[in-house]
Amino acid sequence: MSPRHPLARDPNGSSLAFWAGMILVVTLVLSMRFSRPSTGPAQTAPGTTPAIGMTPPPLPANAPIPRSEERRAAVVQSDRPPVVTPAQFGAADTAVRSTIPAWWQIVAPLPAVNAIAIGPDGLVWAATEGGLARVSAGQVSMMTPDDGSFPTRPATALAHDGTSLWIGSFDGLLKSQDGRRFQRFTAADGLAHDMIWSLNWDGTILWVGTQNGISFLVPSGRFETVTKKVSNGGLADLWIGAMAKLGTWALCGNDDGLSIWDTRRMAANPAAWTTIDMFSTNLAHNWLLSLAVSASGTIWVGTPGGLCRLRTPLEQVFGGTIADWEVFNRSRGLPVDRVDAVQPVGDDVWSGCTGGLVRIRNGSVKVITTADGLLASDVRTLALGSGTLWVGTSGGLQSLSLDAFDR
Amino acid sequence: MQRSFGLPQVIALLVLSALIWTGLGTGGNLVKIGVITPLTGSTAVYGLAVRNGLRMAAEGINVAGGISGRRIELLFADEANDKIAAAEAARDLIYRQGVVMIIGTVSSDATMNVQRVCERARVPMLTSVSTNPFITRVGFRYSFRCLTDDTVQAAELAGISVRSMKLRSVAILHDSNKYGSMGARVYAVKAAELGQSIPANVAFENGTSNFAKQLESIKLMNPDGLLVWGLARESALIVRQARELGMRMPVLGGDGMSTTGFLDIAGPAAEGVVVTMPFNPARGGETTKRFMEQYRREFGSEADSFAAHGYDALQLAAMALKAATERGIPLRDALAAINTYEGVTGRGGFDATGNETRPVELALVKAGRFVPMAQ
Repeated sequence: MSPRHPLARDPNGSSLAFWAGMILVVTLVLSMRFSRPSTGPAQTAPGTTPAIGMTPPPLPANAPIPRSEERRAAVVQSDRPPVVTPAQFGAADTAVRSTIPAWWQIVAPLPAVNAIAIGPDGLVWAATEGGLARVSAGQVSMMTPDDGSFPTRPATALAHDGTSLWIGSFDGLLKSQDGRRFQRFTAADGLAHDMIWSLNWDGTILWVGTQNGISFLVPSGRFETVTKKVSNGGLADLWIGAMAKLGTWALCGNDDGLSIWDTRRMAANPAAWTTIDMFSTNLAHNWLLSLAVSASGTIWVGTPGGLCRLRTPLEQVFGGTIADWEVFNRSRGLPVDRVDAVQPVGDDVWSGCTGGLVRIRNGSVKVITTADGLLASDVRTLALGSGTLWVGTSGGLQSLSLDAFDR
Repeated sequence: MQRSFGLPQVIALLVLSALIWTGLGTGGNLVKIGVITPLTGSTAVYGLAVRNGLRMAAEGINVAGGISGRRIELLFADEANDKIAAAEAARDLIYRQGVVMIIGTVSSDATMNVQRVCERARVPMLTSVSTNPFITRVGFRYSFRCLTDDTVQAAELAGISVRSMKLRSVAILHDSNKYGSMGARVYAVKAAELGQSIPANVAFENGTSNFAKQLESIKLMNPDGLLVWGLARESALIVRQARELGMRMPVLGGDGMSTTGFLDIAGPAAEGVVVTMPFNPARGGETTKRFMEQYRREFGSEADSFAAHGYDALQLAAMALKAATERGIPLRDALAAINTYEGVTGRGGFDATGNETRPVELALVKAGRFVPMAQ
């Protein structure tokens, strides 16, 4: 048996410690109440802390502008992350103006943003490591388990079906119609697993990528699940990091490549599936970290080895043609190989990597980094709004005006 | 701005000192590290060895004063060779238990599922067992490995099989999981480069017990050698059944076979098998000797590669935690900065991808023991 550590807790010291703790709390409260000068608006009283079902308070528009990584970090830790608008840039000091270009519309330091969704009402939602954030009329509200306004953390994925917001988490799938009340679905409700990694709304069906295969919500309200076993090996592996839909093809990104299910056929039929991997094609890597389909039907995938565009039509791939990919990686101007996010915008494609935000136009690569006002260098997720690209990083959420960027 | 420092602050400081003295909030005096490893099931032979090594290291670190006065607490999660359970364990340890780091796990499949949770949560993960190259070669900033990976292990085996053993053809039988499939793939590529032919490259499912069908088809091809890339139980059964079928060719394997679990199940059939050996006790100095002796005293058996690497994993974690505390830098950065260290497994370090830099040795099974081969 190992000797007792000198700092180990004394079992007889508990009651002394309790009273000492009580004295400390009272003393600190008194100390703050009577000694500290007021530096800003009054904090929300404990009794008004939003509970589940209540609307969280909006954030102050006059919050400080982050000037450095240190200040940004400090803001992230605050209860109320600020919104920084272009108008505020003008009031900021020279250092800020010189480092934050005007194409940024909203800059909101938040816990790391894992996913972004935009509702038909224009509300922007961000799934973060700390909970759920909402952007409405330039104001950001953060809902977290700490104040009871959101049931869990982290929020990992988002999809909007036009009526409801679906939020993936590591504790199940949440549904909300008003952003205040959340209905939770778990494996007990038929989901493949409680750990949700990706979501996709195809206009009729909600697709859910989990730690243990895919689930989809049929219009009758029932979840159906497809695993490697159910698909007789058609689904190459179980972790589903990214999902998308193209016509009748369900695209399931996992760590053995891109598994594609022709949903006109039964999932249990191996012939209904094909998997494109790095060993049989020029796919940059087997781990699919992101996946998107452009309006013209082009499939883009983000991998640790680069951003890849599928050049072979899926019908031909199913017919036995070896898939051919165009790969963008460091050798073509990306700051790093690993691509975590991809968002086609017209003929352009935007991607997020651990080295910044990247726009590819006609094969030409432009990189946006923290020096250009990106909150953090690792871009985790992207979403397209009306003329706006929403960018989620480990530093928070920001929106980029595509018109202003082109100017 | 001038700050006042009055009676309330003085009282607060006094009370705070009292709290530290009495140990209130022991959680504040603990550094919680999550350990995900199989403690039950077919791969428990690795997980239990890792646990022993980690416990021994934690004991030593805590007795020596911990991390700047804070004790290390290891929170173990049994993933029972189930990658889904491993991911769930990572979630629970990070988001519910608040660990600062995760050490784990054994199977590369499981480790990959853990590392994705760690990357998202920005919690460092260090594996001391999993060898699939992808774990540290995917640009994941929070993934580290303190064991030579399969790129090096398989290349070393291919090299010796061609140059020293003069095998012109080697059939491969490998686990279909990410450990076995990648090890086999790397070996095949390297062998092809060296001019060795691979007449068969056959996968088996983890948990299989009867390999007669695969072995009979390989026997018909009459290769010069047989490479097995799998975990202890299945690899041992393959070697036994191959010998029972009269297959006398040399057998080679990765470090999944370099455990007493393999020797126990394979029995005399293991004689002559060549495996990669990431830990050679004879190669170490005084530290290794003391480690081996203490391990023998505490557990009544010889420390294997997995116990030794587990021990070193926690020493590395402690080094990083200490540096992070003293220099006020993120734990991930402190870990990444360790480009050289002297552990019981020898001198190692992390490269820019977080991967172990040292080479691997080979061992031959002789009289029921792994005997290091001169290279």
